Parts: sequence; structure tokens; C-alpha cells
Amino acid sequence: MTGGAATGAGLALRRVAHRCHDEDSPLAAHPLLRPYLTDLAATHGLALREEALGTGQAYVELAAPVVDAVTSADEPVDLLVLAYGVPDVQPGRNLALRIADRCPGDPLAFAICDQGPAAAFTALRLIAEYARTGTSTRALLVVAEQSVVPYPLTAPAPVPDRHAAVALLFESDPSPVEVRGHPALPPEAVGAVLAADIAELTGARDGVTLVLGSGVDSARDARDASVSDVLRAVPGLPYTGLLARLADGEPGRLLVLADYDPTLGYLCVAALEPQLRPTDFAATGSPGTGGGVAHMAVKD
Amino acid sequence: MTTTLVDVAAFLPERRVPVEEMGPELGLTPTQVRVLRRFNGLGEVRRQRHGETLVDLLACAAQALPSLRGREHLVRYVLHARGVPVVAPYPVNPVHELRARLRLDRATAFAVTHHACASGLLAIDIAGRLLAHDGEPGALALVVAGEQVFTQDERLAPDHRVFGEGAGACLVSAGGPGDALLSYVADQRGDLDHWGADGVGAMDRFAREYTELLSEVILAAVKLADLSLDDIALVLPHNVNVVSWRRVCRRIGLPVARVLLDNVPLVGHTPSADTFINHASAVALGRLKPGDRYLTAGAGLGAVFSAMVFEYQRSGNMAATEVTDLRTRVVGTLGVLLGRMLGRDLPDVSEATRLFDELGLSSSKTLELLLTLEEELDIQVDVENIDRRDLASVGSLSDFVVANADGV
Repeated sequence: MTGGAATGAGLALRRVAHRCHDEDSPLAAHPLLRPYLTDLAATHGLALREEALGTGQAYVELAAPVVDAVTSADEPVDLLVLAYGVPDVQPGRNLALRIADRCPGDPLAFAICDQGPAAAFTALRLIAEYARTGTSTRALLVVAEQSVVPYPLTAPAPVPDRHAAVALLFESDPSPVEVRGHPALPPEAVGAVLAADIAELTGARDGVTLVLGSGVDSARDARDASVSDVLRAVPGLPYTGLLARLADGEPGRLLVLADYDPTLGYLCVAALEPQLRPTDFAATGSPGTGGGVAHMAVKD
Repeated sequence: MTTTLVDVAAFLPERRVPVEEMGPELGLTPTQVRVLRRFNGLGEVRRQRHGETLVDLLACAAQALPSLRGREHLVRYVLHARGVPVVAPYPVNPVHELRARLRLDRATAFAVTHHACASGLLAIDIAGRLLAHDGEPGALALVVAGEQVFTQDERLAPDHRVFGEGAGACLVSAGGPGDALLSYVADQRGDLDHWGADGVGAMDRFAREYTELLSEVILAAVKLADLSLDDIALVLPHNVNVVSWRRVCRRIGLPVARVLLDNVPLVGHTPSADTFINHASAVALGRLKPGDRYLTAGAGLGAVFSAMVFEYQRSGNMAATEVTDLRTRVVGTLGVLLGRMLGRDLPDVSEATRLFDELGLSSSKTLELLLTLEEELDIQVDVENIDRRDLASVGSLSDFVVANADGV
């Protein structure tokens, strides 16, 4: 993902499932975590926050229901890309492989991180690229976040106020997907670049829904965007809150997603067509409601 | 569009730590340490000095890339291939610090992980895909690999492998000059998850199935490249240990001499960086010539087994590395010892010199030569699998010594 456009990748968004969870995982109490995290924090002269030990969520367990919700045994998945910012409660675990292990199709799986909220866009870009070359025909994008960082933050950074995961199922399709990224963009330039991107991506098309991440200031950054139908990311979820709203995409309306990370300086914009496919799975709750009970939304 | 490696470089910190010094830190008994050296072929690792950072380590490798200088403006991506998913406390961000240090501000930077110590291969593949998608002429991606050994996880079988600090870097292009990527195969085994509920059981099964799984992925990558094992001039291994590679070689019928094991006793296992370090060594040692097909393979807990096949095309402007050239030392020392043994100067001894036919050595004299070489270089060579073909020439004997040296 860089300054250039990635056009015509050919993807259809088939299903979206999002889940919030306020409870902590028993895996947070793994006996090896204390020495591991102590050593990790010590690399930068930090001490553990004792009160945080034993709390937090594991992405394998957090993602399992949303992966289950968007997949089925007769639809094998061949690619799974996990994106995250805040580390898993078990930071040493190669958990994308574990998530893939329970996913139909035994997909190639890996993770993208250390890019803030832009990691999800890079993951989407890669899924589009694997589809373009025919390497993948059905792919999962999984993003997870958990609210516990067991040491003091050394700099401002997005931390969610609850645990959440989102899974998006894509299939190869003639519909173009475009993902754009602008590295090292200062906040004052976001509005103009975003407006130009939106204009180019939507052209004269009617029926556009703009979905804005928590890093985009509507008043400052999106005032020039000529789109009236605007959805905001689920609050408090800097990594999954934007994608959670894709469950609300309507057939026939182009979805344009945008997020900005003032810390790392990435503005990311993507355009895709929702072609949501019904599942046999029950849809319950609504995205991002949390409240101590796992809620899920599967768009039928 | 073919993914190519435009340039590859490696960096090793100067500080050397013998496995004997690491024993207490790793919780190993003196006997276990002797096994590490004698059986697993591990000798020492490199470590940074106090105060040096991960970004220092990665930057040294990237700055050793001759092709990067003057082309910073063409770098569109910086990928940190990570064996350990999290190497710094959030939100500390080494790959973005590296991007700033190298003045690659126009690049998109991120980490690629969850393929354990084979994440470097995945990152090369991903970098090539992104560049191919962009289709921008001359555009490059910088892939870096290397980590600090910041903790000791006793589940990682320290009696079989020791982790060292070192870094590798490569510039990737789509369709540009350089080593052409011919195939890539990754076999995942998420059930072998050492952080899962049955971590001990997963470790045991990983150890039991390792040889078979790594062998299969190597053969699959060779087949995908439409080649046979005979076409593979050299294997760049992950430096987990020597004995595991002997088992893989036996299983698939690959001569051990075709696996570049020189760095195992000198560097140990560096997460995700072994491929790059061994590539730099292979070029420095003259083990690759244009047109050679080579394979690199790695595996890691979690679990994943990966192999990649390339065609070597580089013109030889590799960065100098600090990897000690064991094979050069062996060849040179053999020349001296042969002269001493035969009582005459042998100025024309080369790798091609035939020990039996040209110099008239007997098998027993050749073994005597080998023992003297051990003393001279302070190494120990496992002679269990030696056969007459290994004794044919100075070159073949040197290959055998390098592949079977249990310590330096």
C-alpha cells in the first residue's frame, strides 16, 4: 500500500461478523506470561503494571466465533490475513496459524502488524493482490484488538476500551477493489487528499456510503467529501470499529472506507462493493455493543 | 511478474558468546552443553552489546546493502519479517523507527509475522506481490529480518538450538535484475501450537514430525519450480543445528555438502535472518554462480515449514559480511598440512587437487590429515558418515569438514 492506486483486484465482500467482549481470557493467566512480559517491557526500561497481569483477551479465542460465523465447511478458504495493533494477550503466539487451523480450507495464514490501523488496509490490499493473481479465490480478513497493555505506554497510541474481533469473507469477483495509502501525511493535509481520493474513487456514481474511522475528523477532514451517506466507526474500537460497520453496507451502494493515524501518519482509503451473501448462521445483537456478553452481527 | 532479490546483506554483532557461557542462562547442564557442541554442531552465537537496540541491528544490515544507497527514493515498502510476533512493548515500533533512520519516509512500513523463523520467506513473497500490483518501474521493497534475544523461553528446546542475534536485509523488486524467485511453499501446522492448551504435547509432536515436514516442503518447492533435487546447487538452511539437517538430507537423498552449514557453529539460529546471513556467506564463499538454483528453507514453532527456490543472477556486488569463512580456512589449512605431511612444498594445491590420484594418499593417510586438521583449527569433525567420495579431493574433503564440524 503506497501512493499509487491498486485497481481492479476483483473482490466481493460476502460476509462480515464483528464481536465485542468485555471478559478476560483464562489464557491471560498463563504462567509463562509474567517472565515473558517482564523481559519484553524491560527492553525499554519499563516495569509491568501488576494490576493488568492476568487480564486481557486472546485473539484465537476472540476471533473464533466471528471466523465460524462467516465461514462454512463447503466454502473452503485459501487465505487468512490477520491484522492487529495492540498485541495479543499471548504476545509470543503465532496465532494466525491457530485461527487458520479451525478455518475450512486450511488457508495460508499470516499476520500484519506494527502499522496501526493501517495494517487492516495493508491486509485488504494483500487479499486483493492474491485474488488478482489467482492465488486465492476465497479469503478472510481478521482484525482483533484487546484493551489490556500490561506496561505503561511510552507514547500516545490507540488502545480500545473493550476487546473485539471482526472477520470479513471475500471472494474473487470481477468487482474492482481499490486500496490507497498515503504514508507520512501530516494532519493538515488529510482533508484535501481524502477529498481527492473520494472524488476519484466514486466519480459520478450515485449510491456511495462513506465509512470513516476514528482517526478521521469529520469536520476537519471530510468536510470536502461530496458524500452524504456517512457512517462512523464503532466508538472505542480503533482497530475493528471501522470494519464492523461494513456489515451495514447495502447492495448496490459503493463502500468507501477511510482512516487516518496521526501517530504513524498513514491515511488509508479503500473502495469496494458489498455483495453480501446470506448464511445459515443466526445473526444476533448489533456490532460494538459489548456489555459483558459477546454480541455478533452477521449481515444476511 | 517475477519477484527478484536485487541485493542481499547480513550483519552480525561483534560480541561472541560460546555455548558454554550460555549454559547457566539457558538452564543447561554441562553435559547438555557438550551435546549442543558435539552433537548439534553449535559453537557460539553473536550478541549485541549493552545499550544497542533492535533498530541498530536492523539498520546495520540494511546499510550494508550497496544497492540501497542512492535508491532510497525508490523504496516503497519496508517489511520487518519477525519470527517472534512481538519484539517491543506496544506502541514502540521498530520498523517505523528503522524507516526514519534510513530516511525512507515515502515507504509504507509494517511487520510480517506468525510464520515463526520462516517469516523472512513470507515477507519476500509479500513484498514482490505488492510491487507487482503497483507496477511502478524501478520500485523496491526493503525486507529486514533479525531480532534481539530478549527473553529465554525454556520451551524452545535450548538443548537443541541456541538463538543468536544477527540481521539480514534484502531489496526486492518485481521483474528487476537479481535472484529470481522460482517457487515458494509454506506448510502450516496450527495444531503444533506451543502456546496452546497442550503446549508440551505440541512441542513433542513438532520434534517427532520435524524431519518429515521439512523434507516434504523442500521437495514440494523443488517440484513447484519444475526442478529436481539434483538441480539445486546449494541449500541455505535455517541454522537450527547440524544434526537435524543431516536427518533431512538422509531422508530426501540430498548430499549434506550441498547444505551451507558453515554458520551453524558460528552464528547459531537467528530468528528469520538465517536465510539472509547464509546467502551473504554463500556469495562470499563463492558457492553460488550465475544460473545456479538454490533453495532456502526454515521452520518454526507454531508451526510452519517453508521453502523457497531462487535462481542466482547476481553480479557479485554483495556487501561484505563478518561471517567467518570456515571453508576458506579449511582449504588453506589443508594445503599447508598436505605439504607438511608429504614433506614438500605444494604451491599448486587447490580445491580440485585429488588426494588419491594426484598426491598418492591412502585412506588412512587422509583420515590422519583430517585429525591433524581438527587440531590445527580447533574443531571436531563427526566422521560417522564419511565415505570415499568425501576424500576424493581437497574440495570434497573441505565440504565434508564444513558440513560435519561440531564446533569451532
